[in-house]
Amino acid sequence: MTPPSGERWDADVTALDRMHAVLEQTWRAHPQVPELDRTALTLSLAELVANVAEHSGATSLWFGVEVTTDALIAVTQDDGVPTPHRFRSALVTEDPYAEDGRGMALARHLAQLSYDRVEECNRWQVVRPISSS
Amino acid sequence: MRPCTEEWNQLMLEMPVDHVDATTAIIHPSGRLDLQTAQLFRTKVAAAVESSHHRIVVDLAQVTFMDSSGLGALIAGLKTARQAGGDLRIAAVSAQVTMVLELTQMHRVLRAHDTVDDALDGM
Repeated sequence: MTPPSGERWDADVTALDRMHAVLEQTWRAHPQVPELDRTALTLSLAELVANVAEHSGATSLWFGVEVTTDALIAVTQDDGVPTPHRFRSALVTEDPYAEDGRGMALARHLAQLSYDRVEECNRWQVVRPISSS
Repeated sequence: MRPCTEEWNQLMLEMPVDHVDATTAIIHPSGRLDLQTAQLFRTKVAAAVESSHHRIVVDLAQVTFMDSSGLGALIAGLKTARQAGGDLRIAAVSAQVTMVLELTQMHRVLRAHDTVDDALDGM
């Protein structure tokens, strides 16, 4: 199998620490990225990575992020079970007291997500266009 | 992680709880309120309610980031407190936390108070 690109982490809650650290590093290296876009990408990715850690049964998560002039682009890949195509996720849940079921909807609201199943891996591309000033 | 291990005890110290009076507590999460810390938060709420502190204020001043798991934990806490005849209010939310609350329209269910004192008022 072609190894996925990016850093390889254990696909558990520790991936969240690593993800936040990489993103902090990225913002320091690219101070021109607006706060709103940083926040949006961070939250979108956090929801995806938490989902992988909690539900996918994956052992490994690969993570990469880059900043272009127009957009923030992240790719995550995990060796977990195929991700279902229809997510029962909503920003505003039917029962307001629901404790879950919002994560993927948040992720999709904040960035452009595309999913692929590649060589027994789930691959997510997450694109957040950079807001013009 | 099993309760009563050293790691667990260390974690429990990282989210202080103040008992304001016999029935009121303030919980102080810090850093991220997400998948990693959600269970600890729920445990803190359960412990507060267990000791009759069912009026709970969550001081979010030190919370730099919250995701849907953190939100779920706040909602769970609200339900636990209300089931015990109390309530749960949040205070001192950051812009990031406000974003999450507003996107999910939970700012109507979990109304944010500017300060802990405001939240305690009329509890």
